[in-house]
Formats: sequence, C-alpha cells, structure tokens
Amino acid sequence: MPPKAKAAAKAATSDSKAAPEATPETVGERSKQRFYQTNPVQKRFEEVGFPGLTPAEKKTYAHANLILPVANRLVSLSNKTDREYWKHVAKEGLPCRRLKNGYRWGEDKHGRDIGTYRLDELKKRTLSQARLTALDVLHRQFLARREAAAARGEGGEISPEELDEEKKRRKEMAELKRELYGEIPGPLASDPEWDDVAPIPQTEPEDALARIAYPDEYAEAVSYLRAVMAAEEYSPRCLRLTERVIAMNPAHYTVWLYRFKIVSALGLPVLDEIQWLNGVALDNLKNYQIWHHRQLLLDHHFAATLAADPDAAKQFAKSETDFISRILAEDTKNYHVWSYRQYLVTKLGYWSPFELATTQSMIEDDLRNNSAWSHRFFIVFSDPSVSTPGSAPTEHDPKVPDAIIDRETQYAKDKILLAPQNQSAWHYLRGVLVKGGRGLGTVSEFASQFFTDLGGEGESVRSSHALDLMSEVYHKQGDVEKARLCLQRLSDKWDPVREGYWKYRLAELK
Amino acid sequence: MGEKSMAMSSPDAQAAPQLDTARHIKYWQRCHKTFLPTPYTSNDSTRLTFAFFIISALDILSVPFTAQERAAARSWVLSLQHPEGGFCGSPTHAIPGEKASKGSANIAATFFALILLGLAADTEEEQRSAFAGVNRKALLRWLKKLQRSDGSFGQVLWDGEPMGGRDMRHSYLASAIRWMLRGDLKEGDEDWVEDIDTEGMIEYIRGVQTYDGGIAESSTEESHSGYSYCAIAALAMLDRHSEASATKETKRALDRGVADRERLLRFLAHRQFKYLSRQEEAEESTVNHLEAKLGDLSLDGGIPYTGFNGRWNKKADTCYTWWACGTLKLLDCDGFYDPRPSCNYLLDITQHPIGGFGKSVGDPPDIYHSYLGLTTVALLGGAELKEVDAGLCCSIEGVRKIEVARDGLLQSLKRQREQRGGWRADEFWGKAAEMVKVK
Repeated sequence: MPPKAKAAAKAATSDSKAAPEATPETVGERSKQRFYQTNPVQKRFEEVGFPGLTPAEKKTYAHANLILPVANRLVSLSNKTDREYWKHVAKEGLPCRRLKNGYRWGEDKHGRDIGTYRLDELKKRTLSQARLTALDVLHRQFLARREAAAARGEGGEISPEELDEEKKRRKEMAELKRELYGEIPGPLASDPEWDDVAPIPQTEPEDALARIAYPDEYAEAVSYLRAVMAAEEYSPRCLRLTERVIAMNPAHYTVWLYRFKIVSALGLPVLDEIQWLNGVALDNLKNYQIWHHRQLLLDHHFAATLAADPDAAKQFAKSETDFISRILAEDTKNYHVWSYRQYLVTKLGYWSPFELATTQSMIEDDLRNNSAWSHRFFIVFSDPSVSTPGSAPTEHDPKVPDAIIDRETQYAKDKILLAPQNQSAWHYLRGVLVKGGRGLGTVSEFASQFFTDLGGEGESVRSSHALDLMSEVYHKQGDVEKARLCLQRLSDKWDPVREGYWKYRLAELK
Repeated sequence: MGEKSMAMSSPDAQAAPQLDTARHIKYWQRCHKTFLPTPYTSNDSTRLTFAFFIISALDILSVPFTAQERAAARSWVLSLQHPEGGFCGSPTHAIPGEKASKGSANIAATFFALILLGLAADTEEEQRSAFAGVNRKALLRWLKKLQRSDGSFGQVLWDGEPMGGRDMRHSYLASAIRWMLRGDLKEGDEDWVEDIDTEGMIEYIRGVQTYDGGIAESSTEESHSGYSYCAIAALAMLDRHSEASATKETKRALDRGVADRERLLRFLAHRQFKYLSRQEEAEESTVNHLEAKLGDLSLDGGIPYTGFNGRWNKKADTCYTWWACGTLKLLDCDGFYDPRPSCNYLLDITQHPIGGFGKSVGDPPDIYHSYLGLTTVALLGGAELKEVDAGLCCSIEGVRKIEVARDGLLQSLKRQREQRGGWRADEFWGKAAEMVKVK
C-alpha cells in the first residue's frame, strides 16, 4: 500500500517538528509526552472538546484519526477521495504510527509499575537485560562447544578455564535474573556439573494436604536427589547432594540409606564419614536417622576391618564412646544415643570397666538419671562372660555370680539412702533381685527403715516406694492386713495421685 | 471413669479450665488451608502423618468437610500410593509417572493414609468405596516383606530388605494396617494374601519388657511409655482382628504378649505425678520433674494437676498423657488415672492461647502435641468432643468408617472377579480382560 509507506516516512519528520517540551521525569511521563507528540491536536481536543476546536484543528484531528481505518480499508472511500485524503495527510505530515494512550510498561518483580521508573532507572534495567541476553549467547556457545568436545571423544574436553568462566557466567546470569525478574535459580541449576541431570521437581495441586512453605534451595536439592536416586547413581557429587538435603531435612528416611550406599559403593573411609556425622549429630540432637546411619557404618566397618583387628576395634570403641560422652554431656537422657551405645558395646564386645564407671559417674551427677541406671543394668546383666545369653531382664539368671548381685544390691541401696524417693534406684533394686533369684523379703529390713509407726499417731514415711515394696513382702508372708495397710496409706496420704492404682492393688490382695 | 468425668461438671468445678474449642478449630483450619511455615521442612518426610493430624483433629472437633475437601484429601492420599504396595510419606518420596517404583513407601505413611481415606468419607456410599483405589494385595504383600525373622518390622523396603530400627512403633503400625485391610478371608479365596507372622510378632513384643516392667525398643534399653503404648496397641489390634474373624484365637494376644502384666501396670501407673505448676514455671531447665513433698496434699495452683512423663523421673509432656492413659485404657485399667487433674494439666498448662497444645509449660503449639493433647482430652472426657478410640487414636466414628471401607473393598473385589468370570465366557470380553491383565 504505497500511500501508507509514504505517510509513514513523513511521520518521522513530523515527530522532529514537535515543539520542545520539558524533559520528562519518569518513563510514564515520557510515554505520555510521546503520545501527544504522535497525536496532534489531541491535547487541544481533551481541553476544549471537538466543538471547541478551530475548523483547521477539526480537519487535522479527523484526518489523523482516520489514518488507520482508511489504511486498513475499514472505511471505504472513492478513488478520488482516497487520493485527496492521502495528499492531505502527506502535506500536514500527520504521523501514521501513533502511540496508544495509557501505555502499560508492566511491573517489575516487586510489583512496581515500570512506568514510575526514572529514566536512568529504566536505562539501567535495559542494560541489565541486554547484558543477560549477551551472556545467554555466550552460555549457549559454551553448551555447543561442550557438546562438540564430547563428540570428538577423548582429549576433546572443555578446559578448566572455560569451565570456570562458565560457572562465573552462570552466577552472573543468576544474579541478573534475580535482579530483573525475581527468579531464584538454585545453586545446582547454575552449576555445570549437574547439567546432565534432569531434576524431577515436586508438583502438587493447590488443595494438597499439609503443604509446607519449602525454601527454594530445598525444593531444588530434592528435585535433583529424586533424579539421581531413581538413576541409582553413586558418586561423589551425590554424596555432596545428600549432605545438602540432610542439612535441611535430617529426618528424610531414604536419603540416609542412599548415602550409606554411596559410602560403601565408593569405598569411602568410614572414619571420615563418622567425623562428618559427629557435626550433624551435634546439630540435631533428637534425630533418629543419624544414629541408625551410624549403626550401619559400624556394621560395615566391623565386617571390613574391626572383626580381624582387635586393636583397631578397641581404638574405635574408645573414640566412639568419647563422642557419645560428649553428646550425653549436652543431653543426658538422649534415647538414640544410649541405644547406639548399647549396640556398640554388644558389637565390639566392649564390656569394659570403663562403661560401668561411666554409668557410675553419670548416676552420681544425677541420681535420677534413669537412662544411666538402665545402661548400668545392661552392662552388668548382659555381659556374656557373667550371664546367660538371651536371658530376659524379667527372669532369674543363675549364671550371674552372687558377688555381682551383692555388689549391685548394695549399689542401689547406697543410692536409695541418698534419695529415698528416687524411682530409678528402687526399680533397679527390684530388677537386681529378680536377676539374682532373690525375693523382695531379702531387702525388707532395708525398706522398713523408710517408714515408722504406719497407721499410728507418729506415722512418718520417707519413701512411698518402700511402702509399695513392703506391701508385697507382707503379702507374700501371708500378712494381708499389713499389706493392706501399706497400700491404704499410700492411697490416702503418701501417694494419692495413684489412688486408682493402689485401689486396684488392694482389690488384688484378696 | 464415667463417674469421674461427670465430676468435671459438678459445681465445685467452676475453676476447672475449659477447652477453647473455637481456638482449636481455628488452629487446625489454619493448618488445613495454609502452608505450614518453613521450619516444618524438616518434617517433609512425614507429611501424610501431619495430614492425618489435621483432618482427624477437625473430625474430632466435629468440623464438617465439604465434598470438594473430601475429594481433595482422597486424591492427594491416593497420589502417594506406591505401585508395589504401601504409601509414600510425602510427595518428596513419591515419584510420578514411569519411575513411580523408584519412590519409597513407608509403614507409618501407609497407616495414616488408610485412616485418612476413612476419615475423608462421609456418605454411606463414600464410606463403602473409601478404600477403592488402594492396591490391597500389593500392600499386604509389601507389609509381609517388612517383617524380619525375629518378628519385628522395618519401616521401608530397601533393596528388598526391611530397613529401620527394630522399633516397637513399626509393630503397632503393622498390626493396625493388617486390621484395616486384611478382613476375614479364607485361604483359597482369590483375594486372600499370606498373613504376616502374628505369632512372631507376639513373641517379639513379649521379649522387650525390661527390668522395671516397662517396654523399650529392646529388652535391654530404657523403658518408655510411648513404646509401651505401641506394644500394647499392637497386641490389641491383633485381638480386634481375631474377634472379627471366624477363627477366634482362644487366648488373647494381649495376655500372651505381655511377660509380666503386674510389673507393666506398675510402670504405667507411675508415669503420672503431681504437677507443681508454680515451681515448674519458675524452674530453669532441668531434666527431671519436680517431686512434690511426700505426703503434702496441698494444692499449689488452687486446682490439682497431674502430669505424665514417658520414663522414670522425667518431666511432664503433653503427649505422654496420651501414651500412658491410652495404654491403660487398652489394658482395661483406666481407673488408674484421674481424668480431671490430668485434663487440668493439659487445659491449664499446655493449652495455648492461640489454639493447639505445646509440649510443656510455656511451649508454642505444634501439630504433634496439639493433636495428642486434643485426643487425650477427648479420651478423658474433658470436653465436648467426638469419642476417640484408644487403639487407632482417631474418632470411634472414624474407626467405624474404616470397617465399612474394608468390607466395601472386599465386596467390590469379589464383584469385579465375578464380572470378570462372566466376561471370560464371552470371547471378546475375555480377550479384553486378558489385555487389561497384561497391562
């Protein structure tokens, strides 16, 4: 359409003819200015309306607004009128390409209208966009070169310098993307080492249950973890990846199993892994998986090395118990740690005086530390040299020497004297007596010292556990009345919180 | 117990703290409808568990779900099913599409998934088809593979082997899953699946009682009321299954699986203690609970509080009220605790002003303690809540739905088989059925 082309050419000149105005402050203001520059008479029209325009202005206004409809043949004119029309447009230099009113520049990552940007701000943004585009070109070149190098086969690798450059480039691209668009590209996506892995991201519907506001880093790391686990890759980079995931979700139930598989597949030194694990354990005291992992490592290390090397086993037991003590110093009743300690002792046959001494010193620190009492029971009554393997804790074990039963009975008694209301020591005492096949009657004299004048005027009780124990002794001796009195006084006065239980025991006496 | 819970509404109970139901509803609705905050990332592997807490808490609070919410819960749970049986703990552990078998199912997730499917069913029709879509046979076979030769269970299969500690929790979950899905089928029935070794399970549980009568992870470790609950509930669920079946066991698993019942009862009865609220609040961190002066019957906070711990001498914690009271209830010994002071502890000490319960005094609410606090108040009759079942830790209404769902599933499997049988007579449908089978 020749007339249009002609008109367009003229439009440029009309632009330059526009009267100089005040320099705009913002991008939006400049757009507005350009709108008026490309829409002659528009401003006048807005001020006075069509009727208020001079005839010449009316004519210009009408011609200007008809340019597009006429050019697009939306308005059909006779040949003559058409010719006349374009002649006029050309003469006046009316702009054919015109800005629309209220142009929207869109919003930036903060939701700010780019129209409100100052001109220098827009310039900066545009330069960043240009830089990103340029980097993207170089990045694509890198990918192409790498592909070509791989195709050449051996010796055709990308140089470390080039790789370094690409890493820097991606870092810069990531920063630009974040600055411009608020994209948060994870560290893995921008690391060329992971280019060959297609992550398996987690997608779920909006109405999924128990949704968590995952940090981006976690979502990214897990998407890569899913991919490499599915591909059954066991490599150093996967080991590092498991570390990332564990740092954010130590309760992930398969990442630990996967990690163990990597450690064994790569033949990594167990001691290094344990060294690393120590730090994780100190950061996550309540985590269970850490200690299960440690158990797997112990089994692995035992089978590979320790079973055949008693010295190494001893040394390992020592370093392990040192670390366990360190953890227990922070959390004296940590269930997982005590469990692992038992596993270690059993596996390595570490039935040492040191273990017994440890429980002793921990009990002295806190007489009510039941974990330490429990460990003591294990050390004393599960040691295969003085006990029957598999003997239940609730049954008599004739293999345990009397001297040991005597020693432990005395130990418990000594501690009870220090704190007569301590549940742990009393139940330990009961446990020892069962192991020794001795009746509760053997400690009746001891237990009786904790109460006087039961049911009488001067009744005093220093240990409810003594009353409980004596009720059983009296019952066994056939003295139901005395047994009843013990339980009744527990229920009424000395331990009423357990009233229901004591009533049950009373009912059982019959 | 009924008598005691009546006492809660007696005139002298004016000072008794109440459950702030409206706040609890708000708390759980927030958990239901919005993202859990970022620190919950470390719980990502147990999202199904959390989903159960959320839905079940709202159920206990009698908050109805819309049809859309029910459908959403259902489809989300089913999206976590593993093709080789069981459910994955969260979308993190489930892989969509062709690589689905590379995901990893987990025994706890499977337990919670099944209950959730039951709770998400409302109408009779929904209840009957609540387990539709559950690959029952694969699930039960997978469950069997999780059992070790010593009778214990692992939590995941890894390279075909059960992995995870010899943990009493897994025995409980296995027993409950079996009850929810197995049903009373005879060997020879096409939907019959080889059972887990229940005798092995009972033997294993019997062997983990410790010297003080409690139950631990193994017989040499420290006894713990949480493990005690799991052991007893595992046995109770075995009994429930055999009660519902035609071939009843002559002696209850609950009797056979406990070596020394009297010692166990002593252990459980001693999990409670008089909670000294004023002193506990003033006390800096200690590892032991404060002992009341022996024989001192005064009330330090004006009303009596009973706290529960999980191990000898330890401090009170919201969830241990459930573990101890729930276990005693299963053992028919609910007279061992006094519901009112036990509720006082929960409602006055750990109930949080924004709703939910914290772990101990002064702690912010978290999903786990909020749920067990709520179920315990329901168990003890401390508020107007749906009645809860001590064995499955959800509403009794929910338990009924699960029973309906199991029967519905078995019937529909039978129906499908009969239809397939009919098709075989016809050449076209017979071929079609074959094709489906290959796929």
